[in-house]
Amino acid sequence: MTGSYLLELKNIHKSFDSHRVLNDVSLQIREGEFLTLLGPSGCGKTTTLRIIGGFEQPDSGEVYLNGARVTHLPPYRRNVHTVFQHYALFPHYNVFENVAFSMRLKTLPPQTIEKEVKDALSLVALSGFEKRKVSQLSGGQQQRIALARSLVGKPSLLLLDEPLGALDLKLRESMQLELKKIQQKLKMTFVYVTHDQQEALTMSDRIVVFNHGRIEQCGPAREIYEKPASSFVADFLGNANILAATLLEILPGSRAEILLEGEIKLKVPCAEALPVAAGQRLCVAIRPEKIQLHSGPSQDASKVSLPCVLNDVVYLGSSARVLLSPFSGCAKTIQATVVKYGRSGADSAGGLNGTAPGGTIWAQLDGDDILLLPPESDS
Amino acid sequence: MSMLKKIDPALSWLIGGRRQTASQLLLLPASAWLACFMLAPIALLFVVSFAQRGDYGAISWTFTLKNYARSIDPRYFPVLMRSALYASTTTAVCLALGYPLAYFISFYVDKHKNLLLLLLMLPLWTSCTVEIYAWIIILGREGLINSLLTQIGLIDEPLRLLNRPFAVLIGLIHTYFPFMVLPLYSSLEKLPKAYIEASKDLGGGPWATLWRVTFPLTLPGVFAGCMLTFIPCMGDFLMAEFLGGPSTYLVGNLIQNQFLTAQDWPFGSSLSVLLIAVMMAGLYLQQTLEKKHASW
Repeated sequence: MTGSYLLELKNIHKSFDSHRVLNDVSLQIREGEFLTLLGPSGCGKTTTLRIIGGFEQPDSGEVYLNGARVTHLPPYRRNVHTVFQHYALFPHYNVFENVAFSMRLKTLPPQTIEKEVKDALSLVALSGFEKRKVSQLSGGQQQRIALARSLVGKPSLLLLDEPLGALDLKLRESMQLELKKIQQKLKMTFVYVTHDQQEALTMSDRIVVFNHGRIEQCGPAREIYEKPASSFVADFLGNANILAATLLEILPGSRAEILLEGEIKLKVPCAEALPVAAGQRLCVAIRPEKIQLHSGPSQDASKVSLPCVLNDVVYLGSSARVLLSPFSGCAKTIQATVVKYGRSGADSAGGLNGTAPGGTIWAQLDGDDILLLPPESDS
Repeated sequence: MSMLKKIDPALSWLIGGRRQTASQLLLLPASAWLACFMLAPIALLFVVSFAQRGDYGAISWTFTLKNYARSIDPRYFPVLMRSALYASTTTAVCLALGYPLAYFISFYVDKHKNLLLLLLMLPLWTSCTVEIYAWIIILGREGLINSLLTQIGLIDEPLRLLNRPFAVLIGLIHTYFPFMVLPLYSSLEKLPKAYIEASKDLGGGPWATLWRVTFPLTLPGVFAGCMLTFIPCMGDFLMAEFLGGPSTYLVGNLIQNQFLTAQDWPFGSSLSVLLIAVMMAGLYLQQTLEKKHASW
């Protein structure tokens, strides 16, 4: 049963002192997959990676690699390589020796080493850098050398611990695409740790969302974004307005009627199996980009219009974030994204129509864009 | 904006000026101390080394190079070599014992690091004389070791442990061990653990990681520790004086004798100046080597 996966984590628990870092983490990784462990700092994603790499041992639970139990094997006995967050290139070796490190340990013939290093450097587009010192490389180049060093031993699994965190945005974006390309070219399995949801969405075949040492959700990028399993996932990937609601009635045709923040009745689509029964509380998530702003209530019966007070407009370049206080009784601020904000110098486009902060504006929602989620736990 | 620009040069000058004055003031006490008690005596030594020995150990102020000619007399060469041998043996033993210890404290001790370092520095707290007498009590004819060995019947006659090279080495190692371990420890502590993890990650077992990563990256600490051990060992005379015998006569004893016994200050001075010069040359060489090494 463990044979079909390249890597399998089974019920991993880990505490540092009395602080619980991982709580019953189980995970399967298929061969050739680009899997991203995503979560805020302190969520346990790096500890999970370190347990896979052999740098930490779980308090309980098992790690299987290619069907063999490796839970307590040291890092140098696992065919798993890591690209470290700050690269950890050896400063006393030049680029060639850094890349050749794992092969020197295996005492491979010099010709083989030379050829492999050359291939690895050309793979990361740094041919001819063999004699350079590590200190002479830019951050992006160091990152590539670290990648080459880890790839050269042909590990069955490559772990990447926020490898792009220290690079600037432009470089990060181009490296994301390049990493993905290299992974596909070598058909290698990558496990990638990041707290950057955009990075996760760009590269991953599957994303595992961590929170407080638990796996919140695991699935393809699109599924996680469009069908988040919890309010945490909805908010962490791409922002979401999380509002409280009460389930009023389950309607035929996978629909339900809810009462939003105790004020507004809405009909929304829902899954077959709802986490709560009628009459109970739950959460709803609304993506900021799904909210449209108008100067008056909508005539379209299928849509809901909420009168809101415009609090503030945050200019973001390609778009703007509008902060709204919906209906008088609601203490929450909701966010809407306006794409065409200020194209003609004024805020005429995008539905703001010159509404100044403090003015009233109508937020229009399609019931289909509302995601039903289980109620937030108090933990 | 323009106002600020006008003020700016004046402001930076003022702050810069103040900073300079402040830094000079802060340096003043230490500089004065070093000038009085380090530079002045060495200058005096230098001057005296060109003078002549007068009657009854007085200094007669006539310029001569005779002392230097005497200092490089081949007669004294074995003494210098012996000192170098004792100093390098001490350094080697300290390194061999110190590196594993520093490694242990740095990597395996979690809570009691400071306590262990404190214990390590104990020899520095006790007076050298106390240490020497302690060794005499331990190594003497009726000392701890001999009485113990006699009682369990391993020996009939007490072993001669004192007044031999062995005893001098024990004393030197004991005294200078902390000077080796502390720089080793600090360079191991400073070493980013990610390098060690990277080595293990790439297939390096404990020994391969030590030889290919940890040791090369802590070489600056090794150099510093060796220098801090070797240099004072070269000038040490107390250990040879109290724990050694005629066969352990060192450069330090030779110099000490010129000042205290032979009353020949000029010759003692020239020997000292030469020893200092050799040490400085050695330090300079070490630093150039280290700079070359550290150009990572």
